[in-house]
Amino acid sequence: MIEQLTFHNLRGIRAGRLAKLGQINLLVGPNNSGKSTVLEALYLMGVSGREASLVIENELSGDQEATQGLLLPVWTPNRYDLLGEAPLPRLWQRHGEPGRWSRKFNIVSDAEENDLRLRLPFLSSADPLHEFFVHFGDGLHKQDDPLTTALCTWKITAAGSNQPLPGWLRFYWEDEAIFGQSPAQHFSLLWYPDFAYKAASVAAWAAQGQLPAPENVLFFDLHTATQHFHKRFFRRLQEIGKTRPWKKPLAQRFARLFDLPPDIVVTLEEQPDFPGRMQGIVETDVNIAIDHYGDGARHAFKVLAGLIALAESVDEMHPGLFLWEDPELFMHPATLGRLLQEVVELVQDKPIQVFISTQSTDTIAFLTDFATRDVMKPDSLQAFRLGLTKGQLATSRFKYNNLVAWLRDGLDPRFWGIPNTPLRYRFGGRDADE
Amino acid sequence: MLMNKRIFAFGEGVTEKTVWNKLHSKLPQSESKIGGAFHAVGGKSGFKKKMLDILEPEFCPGGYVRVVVFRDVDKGEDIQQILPSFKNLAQDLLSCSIELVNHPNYTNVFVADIQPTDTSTGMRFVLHLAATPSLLSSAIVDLGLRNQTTDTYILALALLDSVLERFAREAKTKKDILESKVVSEIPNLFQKNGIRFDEDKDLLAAYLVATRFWTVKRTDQKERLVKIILDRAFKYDSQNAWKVFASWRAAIEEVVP
Repeated sequence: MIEQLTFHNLRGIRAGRLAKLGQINLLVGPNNSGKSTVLEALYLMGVSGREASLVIENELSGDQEATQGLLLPVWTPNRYDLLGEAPLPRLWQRHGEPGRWSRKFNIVSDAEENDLRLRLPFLSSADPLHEFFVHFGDGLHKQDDPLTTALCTWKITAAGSNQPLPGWLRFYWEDEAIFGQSPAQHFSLLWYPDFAYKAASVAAWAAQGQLPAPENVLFFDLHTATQHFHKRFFRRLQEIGKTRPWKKPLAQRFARLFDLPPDIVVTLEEQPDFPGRMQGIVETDVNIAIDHYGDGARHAFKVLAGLIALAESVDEMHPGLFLWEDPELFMHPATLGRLLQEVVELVQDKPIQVFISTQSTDTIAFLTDFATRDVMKPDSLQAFRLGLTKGQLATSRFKYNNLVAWLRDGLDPRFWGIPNTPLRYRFGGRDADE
Repeated sequence: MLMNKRIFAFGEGVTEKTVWNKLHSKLPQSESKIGGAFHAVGGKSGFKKKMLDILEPEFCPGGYVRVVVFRDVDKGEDIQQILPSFKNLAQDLLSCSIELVNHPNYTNVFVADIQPTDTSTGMRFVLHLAATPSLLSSAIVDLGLRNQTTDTYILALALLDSVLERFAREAKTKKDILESKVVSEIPNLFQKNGIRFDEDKDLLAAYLVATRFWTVKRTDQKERLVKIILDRAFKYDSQNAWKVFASWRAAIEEVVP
């Protein structure tokens, strides 16, 4: 399980830390407070499973490092994530960019079959990443279309305090204390300017603890809810289906959400109009494509399908990560509560870590209520309120007991300071004093 | 953004919350000066848990938390015994030692101030211990109340002439008669029969009986009585009402931004 995250120059976050992470982590706070950035950082680091080697040759001013010039094993994102989507194009589509980033680097040389030398002209010549050399392993090929985008981010793992990290990493890291800590540290670097704080330098972030298996990372957001599944995801479900059922659990959970007959059947069918894409079909007395249901049902169906696939894929050696942005999207509060309960039941006894960013007090209250009613373990739940001031990420952590106290007393964990909304709520239908 | 203007107020129960809400609404420019919620801890033993549960998330580097606590003082309790428990609680939250300094004008108000740093949270902590309010009827003082609670302040308001007058009119009697029933006749009757009648709550109960509150207002809710007393005191004699709550006001003004 990831225990701590540290950020430097990633999107709107100049510096910040999220510590004491748990199994189910809620991210709350105002708009532009860093919630999506945290999810995206976790996603990129989580899906990074393709090995390559990186050589930094640029001299560091006044401090030639022993590790400089050596091959450093790094990992770039897998070609496809759990849902069968290419991770980086997926991320920048979230930000309104085309499916492929414009190349903001120069390929200096690609003479060797498995080597590439890149220059990043927007970085100063003193920057270690101004020019570097990459050697591809078997899993990464120059002919691979998303390769050049995949090369914009690397994960570097130190197995513990005994393994020295390359000194040039310090160029991107203000916080010396994080070096040499146990347990394992994982660092990610992302040089694409649009993802760096004020486009000034290279974005860097670190995680402490056990990362998920790169193939077991599920990122669910608005785009996932409104798109058809990729055929690659269907193939994964088929693979799962050889040994474990997925259709029946999906049908049962979906039926419970929307009060449908318990014997409904669900499946995925190809979409002729969308090559390579599959659509969920719910078979009752008639067959209805899931995308013909309302948006809430589409959202819920796809969340459940993805999460069932994740839950059936993980084990202790291959833990999972579920990143869920705005679970309240399109959802009536009553359905949201049932969906959250299904999600909690699917993950709580599995090695799956969950990060949910939300703007909804319903989401916070439902999860707190589940912990109160022993639907989930109270100590597995925590919320982090985020805030950004001049790039500095402020975080405050709510444990279960804090959430209960705040909600019962009508305080709103989403706000720093005094809420300026006209609506007040009563958690559990009672005042704190009663 | 994160220098929080919210004030976290803690007190034992609903009466403190009612008083807080009233004073909050009556302070000049209160809406812009004071925001936040009052947290009833449910009795003296509830302060530590409630305050930790509510305040822990506010403690993040660079933040500044404003806390005011209203606590009753029971008979036999010594201020010097009460202070260390709050000092320890504040220290638990801040992970550093604090010094509670007596307010220059009120011996029952204590203040601590820790400035934030890049790596630690700051806190303004104000502790108000209930004391015998000024303007409390000498007859009540002579009774020798066992304790000082927020009800003592309410009692002082209830016995202001203008407030008594208003209640007496509703009970179809005179204010002097009403006062006599509350401060001497009913207490004496109980004590003559060997029934203890020496808490401020007993006196408020006598007030409720003498004003025929149950009959006139169709409710026996003490909080309704407290609210009406507060409303009438601030409506008909706000100057003296503020005198009664002078130390409360000082405590609040110490904690506001």
